[in-house]
Amino acid sequence: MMLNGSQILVQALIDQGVDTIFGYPGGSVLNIYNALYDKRDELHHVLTSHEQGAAHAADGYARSTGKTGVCLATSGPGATNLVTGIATAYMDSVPLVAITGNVSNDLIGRDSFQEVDIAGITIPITKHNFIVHDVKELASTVRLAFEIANSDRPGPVLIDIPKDVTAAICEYEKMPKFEKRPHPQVQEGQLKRAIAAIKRAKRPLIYAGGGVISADACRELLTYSKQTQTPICCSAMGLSAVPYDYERYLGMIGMHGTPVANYASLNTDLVITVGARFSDRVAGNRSKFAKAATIIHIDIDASEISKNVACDIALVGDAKTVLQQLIREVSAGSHEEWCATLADFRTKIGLPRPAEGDRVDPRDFIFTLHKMLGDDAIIVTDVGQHQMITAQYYQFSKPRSFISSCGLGTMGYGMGAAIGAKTAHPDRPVVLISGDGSFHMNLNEMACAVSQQLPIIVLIFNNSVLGMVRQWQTLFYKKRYSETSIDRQTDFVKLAEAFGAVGYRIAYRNEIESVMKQALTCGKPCIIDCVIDPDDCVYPIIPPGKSADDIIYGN
Amino acid sequence: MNQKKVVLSLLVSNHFGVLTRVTNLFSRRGYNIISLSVGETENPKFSRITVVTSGDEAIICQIKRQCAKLEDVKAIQEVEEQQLYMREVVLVKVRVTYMNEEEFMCFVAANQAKAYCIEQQLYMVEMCSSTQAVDAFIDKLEMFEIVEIVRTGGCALALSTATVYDER
Repeated sequence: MMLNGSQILVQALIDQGVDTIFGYPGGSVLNIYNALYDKRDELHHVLTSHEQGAAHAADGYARSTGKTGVCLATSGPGATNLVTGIATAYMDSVPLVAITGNVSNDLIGRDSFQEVDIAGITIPITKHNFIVHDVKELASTVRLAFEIANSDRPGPVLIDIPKDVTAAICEYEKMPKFEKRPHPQVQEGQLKRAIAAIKRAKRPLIYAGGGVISADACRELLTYSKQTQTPICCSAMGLSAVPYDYERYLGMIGMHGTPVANYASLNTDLVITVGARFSDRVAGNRSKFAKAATIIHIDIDASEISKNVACDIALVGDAKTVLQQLIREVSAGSHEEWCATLADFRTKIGLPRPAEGDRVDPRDFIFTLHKMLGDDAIIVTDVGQHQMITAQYYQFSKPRSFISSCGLGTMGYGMGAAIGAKTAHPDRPVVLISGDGSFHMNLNEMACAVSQQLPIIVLIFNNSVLGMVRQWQTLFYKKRYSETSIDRQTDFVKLAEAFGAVGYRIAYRNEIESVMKQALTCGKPCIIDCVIDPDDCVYPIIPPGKSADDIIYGN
Repeated sequence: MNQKKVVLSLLVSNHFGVLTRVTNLFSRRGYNIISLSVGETENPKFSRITVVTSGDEAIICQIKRQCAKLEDVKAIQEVEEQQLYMREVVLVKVRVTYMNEEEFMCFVAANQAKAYCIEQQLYMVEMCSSTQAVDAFIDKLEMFEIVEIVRTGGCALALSTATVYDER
């Protein structure tokens, strides 16, 4: 079948199993949009307000489904607007295929109108990228891009297509859907050593990250933990992998982790790390992290082994497969004393309790939110205090129900990501928990939520300041509040109405439930402006570069 | 930790941008490049990049694993010191005087270098040897007037049956 490059691209996407893409048209992608017009029943296009929103939406779609997120933008500014979104996906290992148009081959390198070397720009933030100079390579490149994005450790891949290629005619043959590359096989010797170390361990601890979710290994993780009585803590990326009410779940570890998770890291004699990378937010002091413990590292990416924290036993492979092997090989264990010690510690020192009084404490709100939403909701966040408080207090029970920019820490991520998540899950409640700082960054995407009829609930914890930065100024910069008292005069209720959404305001605790009920039933996108205390700080905190020994409980 | 110098030989896809991807990886992760050379192989699909780098054992291990993740990198071989056969080329423009021209010619011959006369008293000197020998040669050449110098990075193979293809 003879098709032009644009038709080939669209058909190749469909053949790779894509049914939704997020994008924004422009000069270099006119042909592609022309081809999309014919296939709009098969390939649903979500028009965002800005290309950054499209990249985050594709990311939120991917994180909430496990499928590949796809975004499309024009050359030049369209392409550069994707960059933050691609970097966000790269840091959190999200499978994403970003497609950009470029100027025609004969205009490349001449500083043509809306020309930018997006392949060059995105080298450090993609797993791989392509410039397709020849239409004959287009279909196979699309398939390869999906293969790369999804194989081993997932991540973003960019395909840059000059405009003449989108018009060139070529024979198209349907290609089979991509297959993931075979996983690396764990070395037998390392596996034996791991099993021996597990048998020896008196105080084992599982530290689970996002790899558990992307490997679809949550069930295996839980089985292993139950079988061997091993407590689990998670990185922020690992949240939602373990149900909150599992008795041996300790919560998040690291800078703003739970006291008990950090206490466990200080006292464990064996850390079993699964799909996590000892980031500086977990191991602030790399040489002191779990210093007394043997460290087993299960990861599909060999370059994560001993990258940040030196590990003793490396199990390079797919988390699901490796955990299944361990479940088979390791007999039931008992660590009553260790578990009792942790349980006892937890009753003595927990996360800070919500403040008393009429005013809203976001911690309390988040408990209520879970109570009202149930386990089915998808919780998206932006970045800052609200993000960490959500990570600490929200009671997740289903994998992929927490969508947050954990690695790059992209303020403004949430609005796009919520659109992506809601597009993928129209029947599940999607709540974006944001701050007034983050929300101001990409609030333009409210327009998209309204026109796409996506009833997302945006809950803004509004303290009129850049809370997390201000908190650091409080703790580490002698309260010199340089440029963090943003004090915008935005009326979020009117703003919501101006966008065609619904706005609510909450000033007092006793308004939470009634407003939430209205928001959940109004069937429209809505913004809830919830006023909170600007001096509230996220505790506990392990100061940057420090270890769990230096934790500040704050209560 | 003990810093060591290692020679890595990378088998990579032979298309544009591959060198950029490799050097970009080194710069963004703060790895050192002491020298680098690149050229096509017997198979036009592949190029070979020789990188001399340094770091402690953990860093060297990271460099190899990070390089291995690049889509265009097909194989990586660390050429062990005992098996290392590495050569680099230096070209030097040298101006000599009537007084030392004869001494210069002897010096060139004694160092297995070659000299071509460009014009009166201006010579192009070519020398191919190990990095250390090239360094030493340049040091000694300073007794003459060096006009300009250009040298390549080293290219290396293992003096053994081991090849980069074993690492694929």
